[in-house]
Amino acid sequence: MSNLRVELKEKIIEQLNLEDLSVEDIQNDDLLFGDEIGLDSIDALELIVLLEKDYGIKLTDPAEGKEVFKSIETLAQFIESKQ
Amino acid sequence: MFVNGISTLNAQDISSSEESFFGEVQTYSSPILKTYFSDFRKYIKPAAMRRMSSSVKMGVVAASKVLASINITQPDAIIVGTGMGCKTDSDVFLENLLASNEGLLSPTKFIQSTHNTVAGQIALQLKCKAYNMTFVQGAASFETALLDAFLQSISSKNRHLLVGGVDEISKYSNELHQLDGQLKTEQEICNFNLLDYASTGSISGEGASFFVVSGEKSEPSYASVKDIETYNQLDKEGLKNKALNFLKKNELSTDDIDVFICGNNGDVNYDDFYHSLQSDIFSQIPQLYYKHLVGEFYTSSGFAFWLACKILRLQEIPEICQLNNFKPNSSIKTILLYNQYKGRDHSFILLQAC
Repeated sequence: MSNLRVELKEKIIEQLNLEDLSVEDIQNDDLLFGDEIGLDSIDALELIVLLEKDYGIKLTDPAEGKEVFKSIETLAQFIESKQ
Repeated sequence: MFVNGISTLNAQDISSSEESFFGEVQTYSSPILKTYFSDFRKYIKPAAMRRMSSSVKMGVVAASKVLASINITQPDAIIVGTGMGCKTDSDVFLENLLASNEGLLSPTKFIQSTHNTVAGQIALQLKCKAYNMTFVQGAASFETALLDAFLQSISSKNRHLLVGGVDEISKYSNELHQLDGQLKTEQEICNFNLLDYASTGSISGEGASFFVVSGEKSEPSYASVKDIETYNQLDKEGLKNKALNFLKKNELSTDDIDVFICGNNGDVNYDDFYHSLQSDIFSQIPQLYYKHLVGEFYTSSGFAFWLACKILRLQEIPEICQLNNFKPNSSIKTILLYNQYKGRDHSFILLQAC
């Protein structure tokens, strides 16, 4: 598992207070929003803040966010593409 | 106004039994008394709970418990008193505000940092769209919420009003309170000896006390609230007259009071307010105190209100709260509560058996 993907999982668990989950519980392709991880719209705002604060990436297009935040894998690929 | 349901969470193991006050009485050796209750998951879904601060969790659970105890699913009003609101999240939000130079801020901490978050979350959990109000009045916050319910119960009798007080411990507040003398600094401290330390400040606590009140009596109601009065400021000389006038207004004299419950917190600078009444007009009746059990916080008097309701129901006084050796002469019919904090926010509450 790449460091970035593990790092993202750790940050998401901490930032969003997902106390019941560990890094091992989140698969790279799990849907972050919906049944698998169960994030909601407030979490989406938290992820936008996380992306800008920790990786310096500003997400300006809301439509882009839907795809970027689909899973850990898509989020990691997006960050890698910007670095 | 009748008290038809009661619930409290704080540093003590509150008995779930109708027949007793406490489970095992908790002793603390630090000046910070955190809530004893921990089974929040039983009442709140994990997805909702992950964003809740301590005060929101305590408030939601205390409200859920009191409503469930008398089979009410939808109250006709939610009225909350809080001195500091969701202080921990407020602290984090302000810290982030400084750290990010007013830039990137966590939306969750912002949403959760307002004082009315507790009342809002109770309403969300219950899907209740009724009157929703939060009162922030320092150490008279609970009393002010109760006063609102009292007035509403007069204007519309057949409504079930959920009223309560809640406050949480916050790391920054405690640090500040240590600096300005509001928190005791003795190396070794025991909450049961709270009144023995000849020092300023007190011990800090947290908790939530919620009640269902109504203009109509239910069977059986815990108590009847006869009157509530608050004063932002009073001097020690004027306090006695205010107490006597409060009783007179309710066609009572000091002889009619069976139990006097005070908020003594061990602060040598301000406990004289209590002493001035305890050693004078109420010197010959049972005197109770409670902050050695739950600590001092802006809505700790909500616990005193719970205690009074329970005493009137059980017709007995918990020995651990007794300040003097007087026992009630006959049945306990009338209880007077008096509280203040740092010489401000004085309050009287008068309860009677019903």
